[in-house]
Amino acid sequence: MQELNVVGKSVRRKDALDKVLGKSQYSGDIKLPGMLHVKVLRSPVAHALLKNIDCRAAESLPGVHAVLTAKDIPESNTHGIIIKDEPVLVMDKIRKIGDPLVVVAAETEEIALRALSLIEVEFEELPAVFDPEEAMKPEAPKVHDGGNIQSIRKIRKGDIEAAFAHADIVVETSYRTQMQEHAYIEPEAGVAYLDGDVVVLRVSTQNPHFDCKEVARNLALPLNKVRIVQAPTGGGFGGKLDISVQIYIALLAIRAKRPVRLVYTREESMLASTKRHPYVIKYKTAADKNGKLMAIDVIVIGDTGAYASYGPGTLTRSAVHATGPYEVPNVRVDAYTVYTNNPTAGACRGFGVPQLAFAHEQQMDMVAQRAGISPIQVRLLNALRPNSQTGTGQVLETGVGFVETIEVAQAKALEVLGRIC
Amino acid sequence: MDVPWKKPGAKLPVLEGDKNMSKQTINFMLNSQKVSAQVESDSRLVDFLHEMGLTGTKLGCGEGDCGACTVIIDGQTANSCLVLAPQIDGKEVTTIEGLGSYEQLHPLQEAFIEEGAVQCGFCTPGMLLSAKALLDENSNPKREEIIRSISGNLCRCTGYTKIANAIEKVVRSKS
Amino acid sequence: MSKFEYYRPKCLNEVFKLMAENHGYSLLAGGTDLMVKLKENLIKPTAVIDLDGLEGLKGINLEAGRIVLGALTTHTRLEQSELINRFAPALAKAAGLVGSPQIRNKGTVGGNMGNASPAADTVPVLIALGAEVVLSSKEEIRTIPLEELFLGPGRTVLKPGELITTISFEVLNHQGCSFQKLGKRKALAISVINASASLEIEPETKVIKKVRIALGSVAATAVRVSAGEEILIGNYYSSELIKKAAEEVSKAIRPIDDVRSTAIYRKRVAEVLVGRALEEAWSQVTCTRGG
Repeated sequence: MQELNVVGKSVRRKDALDKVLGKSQYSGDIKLPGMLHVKVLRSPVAHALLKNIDCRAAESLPGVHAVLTAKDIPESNTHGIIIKDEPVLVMDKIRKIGDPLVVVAAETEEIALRALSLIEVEFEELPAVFDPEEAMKPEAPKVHDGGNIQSIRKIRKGDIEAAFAHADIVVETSYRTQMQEHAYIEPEAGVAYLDGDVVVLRVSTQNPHFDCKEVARNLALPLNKVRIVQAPTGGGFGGKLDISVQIYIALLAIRAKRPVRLVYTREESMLASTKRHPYVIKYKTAADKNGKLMAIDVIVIGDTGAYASYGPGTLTRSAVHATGPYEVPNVRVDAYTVYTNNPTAGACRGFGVPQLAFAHEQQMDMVAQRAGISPIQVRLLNALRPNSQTGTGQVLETGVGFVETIEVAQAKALEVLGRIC
Repeated sequence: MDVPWKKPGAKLPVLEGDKNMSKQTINFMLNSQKVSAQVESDSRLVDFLHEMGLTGTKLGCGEGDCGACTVIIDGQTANSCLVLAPQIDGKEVTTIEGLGSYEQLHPLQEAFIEEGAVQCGFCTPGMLLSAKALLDENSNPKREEIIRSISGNLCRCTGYTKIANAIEKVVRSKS
Repeated sequence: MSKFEYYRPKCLNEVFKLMAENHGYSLLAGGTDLMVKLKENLIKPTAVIDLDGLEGLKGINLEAGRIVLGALTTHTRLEQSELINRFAPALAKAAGLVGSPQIRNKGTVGGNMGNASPAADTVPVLIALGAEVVLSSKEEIRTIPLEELFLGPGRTVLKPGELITTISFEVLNHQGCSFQKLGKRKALAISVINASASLEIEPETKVIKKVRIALGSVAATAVRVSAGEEILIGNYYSSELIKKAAEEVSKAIRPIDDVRSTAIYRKRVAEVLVGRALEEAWSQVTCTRGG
């Protein structure tokens, strides 16, 4: 084979040199002449009608350059990766703790924080819903006008009823997985400044092109007047795909006509950022007496929190992966994306698959137990192989490495533990 | 720093920081150079370093959990978010900026690059300083000692194995 | 963080003077807890008195059969000290399991006491070792048993103008001590529960003469559990006896549910940890120091 310059070689990371020397300029390290500091006032309550915001005292504080609310957003005041359901700043309804209400730009962070403390917010608290199963009930408090079931993704293959009727083994279990914070080690941060009539952002992000479109849309600017530069980004893991500081700083740079910087504290990062979707999974498996899978019947409920973010995409992935790496002839999956007043859930390493893996692997162990075979045997018996058909009907032609993976793992287990299982 | 909440009807808070607190002068060694500076009594070392333009020290959590702000004070690692700037008066501080330069990388820096021990890079300065403090004290640490020495530094990209490999590489090349 | 004045006095008299002049003072030893409280605005001192200048309160000495720890001795120093490793290895072990290297380099044993966290790792060992603390103020110097220092989470019997100066415990030839910790991780973990035990035996007969069992994170303060101790005293060591004592300890404690764990889990693991702590203490008493 022809030798290539890069492929097959160990290549030095392009940014490693700056990083080991501490010279990399992450967004929070950037200082610009005349730069202002931004802070965000966030909701202390999970569900409320916003009645009034009085910013007068904050505005008159010396050193404060701009105090903006939803009324100051030129265009849509919504953003969202799949559905535009999240306000840049809350206009009328608070849907989660940490929902942004006001942004302030001031000479120092300290002044900006003092300005926040001077803002009077009037709101009327509403009953909130924190459990996705509760949220699906008709009488539950409505997080959004359209109801709490944001979307349903269904998969149907074969004849479920017949398979369960003829099954020797039926395993039915409910699983719950927890919410998870990405906790990238660099909290969200960004700077924005004007370069002529172009607003330039250097920001900690995984999604600069999306950021550009959202900023342009909310600020009513053509795309070529917004430039997003991804600064060195201290981890993301899916959590920096959504909008964080971008729209605030672009808006404030334009309004204050000064460069601005916003660096979240760790607390604010936890409060404002998306999380891994907590799931409720009701998983029913049918198998014959040998442990060969006959059908699965699965209900997946993903708590996407106050806003959709990547919810529908995550739940779609969960539906598709509900069978795990196994061949299942009859499949029924209903995957619900549900709104609650919890923190927004979005993309997070694995994107809905780890939650399902937790469930289907438990199911497989229980099927093995009932069939009287080993956990490895049950997996090999049902493994996807070349020419297997997945739950969505796709025929896998090549690159199906599951059996080989099990064999390697088996050999490793033997080597390390001296036994298998 | 907390984002303060404001509930309706609450009284305006008494503004903090209105009292004119005295600044104090501190003299210390920073990366082998004598420094004299005026600091506010309540400023944290990590913020003070950033004010001085030394932004290589990273702030990750602000409570001593993540180790991104690790510096070396008098030969021992410390979280610079848990140290007040006036505390370093009379001390010797080493930050990532004092470890090496573009012209002359520290062997640890070289090894981190070579071994692929750098990913997002935000934990890297703290990791390097923890490793340096270890090697300064013990030139031939065992693998377990290496791992223990970086146990106060979180790498959320989870690149610990390569980081430990990089440190081990320096140990091996010395011995 | 609130605004405060910072002081670094050089001697105790200066500390007393500053404490008298600044009613809203906070003492800064290692700062690993204080700085977090300042950041969270949980405390708003008018003055922060840094004790780092008190060189006399740093260090570990053997004086008249007692190990005396200066309150400002860091966990790193405790962990590495030859004296501690020789006479109280369980304390070195506990100190080495506190936080992270960075935290151990800064955090001090006196600060760990003064912070009065029920999960503090050095406290159960020091209680098991029968430690006493010396509290000093301008007016008086008083010595109290360590377990009497704590009133509740973050609360001690320290009066305004008073500080912890030394902590000491007797070195006994026929005593073994241990430390067991359960955290959610191996490093940077606040204890879900921790336990220490000391056993003193009659050298001739090997009968257990004196026992102290102390646990952290199972109550508002670190506690001694006499129910487990009584079973052992006057008896010969055996695995059945250890099991019985551990069960009694588990029955006697009243832990709570909190962010780190649940009451039920703590009761269960207390039994396991106390069992291990007693085994470890026994192995110490029988193998060391030519005792």
